Amino acid sequence: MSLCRLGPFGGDEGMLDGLWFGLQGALDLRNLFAVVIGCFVGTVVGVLPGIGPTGTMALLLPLTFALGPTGGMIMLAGIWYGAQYGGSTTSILVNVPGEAASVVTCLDGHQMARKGRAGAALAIAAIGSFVAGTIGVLGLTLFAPPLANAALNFGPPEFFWIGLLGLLLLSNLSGRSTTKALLMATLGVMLATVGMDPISGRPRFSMGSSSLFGGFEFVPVTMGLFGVAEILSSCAERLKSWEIFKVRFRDLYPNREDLRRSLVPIFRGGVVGFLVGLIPGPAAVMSSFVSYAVERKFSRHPEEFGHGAIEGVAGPEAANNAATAGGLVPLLALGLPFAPPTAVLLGGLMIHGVVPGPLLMQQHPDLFWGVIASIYIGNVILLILNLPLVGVFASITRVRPAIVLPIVLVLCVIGAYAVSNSVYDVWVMLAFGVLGFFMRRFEFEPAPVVLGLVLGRMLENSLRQSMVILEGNIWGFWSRPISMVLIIFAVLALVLPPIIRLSVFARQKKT
Amino acid sequence: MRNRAEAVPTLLAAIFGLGYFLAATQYSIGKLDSPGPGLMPRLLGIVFVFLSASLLITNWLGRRSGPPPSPAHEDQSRKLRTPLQVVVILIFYVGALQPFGFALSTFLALFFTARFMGLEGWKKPIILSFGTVALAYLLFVLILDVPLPVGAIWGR
Repeated sequence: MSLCRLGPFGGDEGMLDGLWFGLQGALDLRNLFAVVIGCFVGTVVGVLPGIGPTGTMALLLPLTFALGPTGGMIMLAGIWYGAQYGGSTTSILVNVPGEAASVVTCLDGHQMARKGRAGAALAIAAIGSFVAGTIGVLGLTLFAPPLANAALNFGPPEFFWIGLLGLLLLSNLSGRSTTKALLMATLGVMLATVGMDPISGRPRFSMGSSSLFGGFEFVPVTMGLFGVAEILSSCAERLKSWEIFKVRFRDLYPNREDLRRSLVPIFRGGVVGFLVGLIPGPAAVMSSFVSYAVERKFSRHPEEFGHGAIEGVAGPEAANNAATAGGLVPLLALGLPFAPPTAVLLGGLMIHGVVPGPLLMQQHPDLFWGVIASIYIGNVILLILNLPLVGVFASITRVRPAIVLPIVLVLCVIGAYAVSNSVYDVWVMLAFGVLGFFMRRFEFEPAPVVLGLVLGRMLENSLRQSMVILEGNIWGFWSRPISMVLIIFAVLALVLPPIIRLSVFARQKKT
Repeated sequence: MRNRAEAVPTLLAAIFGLGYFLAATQYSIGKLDSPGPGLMPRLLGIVFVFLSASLLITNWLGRRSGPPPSPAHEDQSRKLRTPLQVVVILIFYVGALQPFGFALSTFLALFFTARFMGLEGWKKPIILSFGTVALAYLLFVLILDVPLPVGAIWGR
């Protein structure tokens, strides 16, 4: 274990050294290209209603093979936080949230646009996103390394509990029904058992097909469940483009009063967003709602909320950006995805043979620090993209879905095929696309399936390794101190949500 | 059943779980100190059947763990028609990839998908399909070196 601590920038070296090392890597031409592409694509999908960052990240997973693990992760992370920037554009100009986390921005942002103040709202949203994104990544820089160091004492039993905890936490918070989410997470782990058994080498559930010997590839399954299913669901909804407010470059200057009123909400939103980001679940969405409620409570003009209050744009837009950085803390430090986009990031790491977890900082310091440093660069790129080019991005919403969706479908097919140059993977993607479409119709969340597929192998291997190490003494699973803490968290994750729901229900009934 | 729409998928899930569990019984579960390849699948099968059964029962009793789903929309058949059309096109498209190659099958798939999604006339869908195929070929085959299927009927 002591050898692990000697890894570059993992233990005794300072965080600034690590960050400097990461910055050098992030400024490498290929990684710089990756962050620009990620931020650009993220802004576009943030602007476009109906296509979310998780689906897009899944679609572009095959591209990470060309960029390498570090470049790939930088690009995927860029899509995630870039979408938070872009989401505000359609909320303000069209009153349709481009991204779920920008729903709250519609309330006051669009009201400002109706009063001819769209430019100020867009500028404050972009500046707030930049400031809060930087606050969030500062928090990520400070919190992730010590957490990863603390987790270095984990053995197979702890990895088993941490995998189980990850499944339980995301299942509890990603959908409406816990049972449904748990069912989907179990399905994901079941999918992970298909193929060659990693210990005995015997094929399982392959039904005699050599294609199934290798199991289900993460990329086609995720592209199907998110990409194809999202397109099929969009086909079922409205297929029209939206009317938008026009914004000129000279309108993009907020006045002194706007800046004065936005300053504190932006910083408050940044802190609120980062803290909410550390909680499992759809953090970006939750953080924007929490921030809106906080700003309304602290405002001297609460009556203005809903009628174009600038604080109602500044706080939530800051919060959803900081939340993405917060969500990266458990992923980079523990290998635990607390939100659907981080589940895709986790899968992206694993297809490159990178095992996320406490050892990531020691074994892949270039990736660990490169991703963190790239977010600083990404925030600057996004500010440049989202201020002067806001009109260009807004005009994307004028392109009809009948043009965009078929092109995205072709990209899905190429992406799935490119994984191993096999049409079989395209069939897998199509099958999971149809499954994902019906899952959405019946309110079964696809994210726990992906998480189960990603964590399934780790869960099974750590369970079997633990049983061998503990010589069959299953009590050893909960006699170790770290295991005990993780079990308590796992039990709380399972028991607390229904108790909270029941108490809220009882309170509602009383009132 | 209070929520009939959910009964079918939940029942299918329960049957699937049972089938998975039965298939898992052909693998050894091993011993406590040397677990076999059948241990995890059997545990998963039991959990899956238990969860789907509990979902089925809570639905039956009318006490769902979450709030009720949004009310049915007025035009369900219209909402299903376009996705189903796209799925049918995709099935033909994926089936045609190897024999007819990427270019021809993608052109046809794009053309019909765009038409079904509401792109009027012939000109626009043809331009969209041709342009996308040309750009995809340039980007993926010529620049990124992805060996997209050329097509068995062309002799390769």
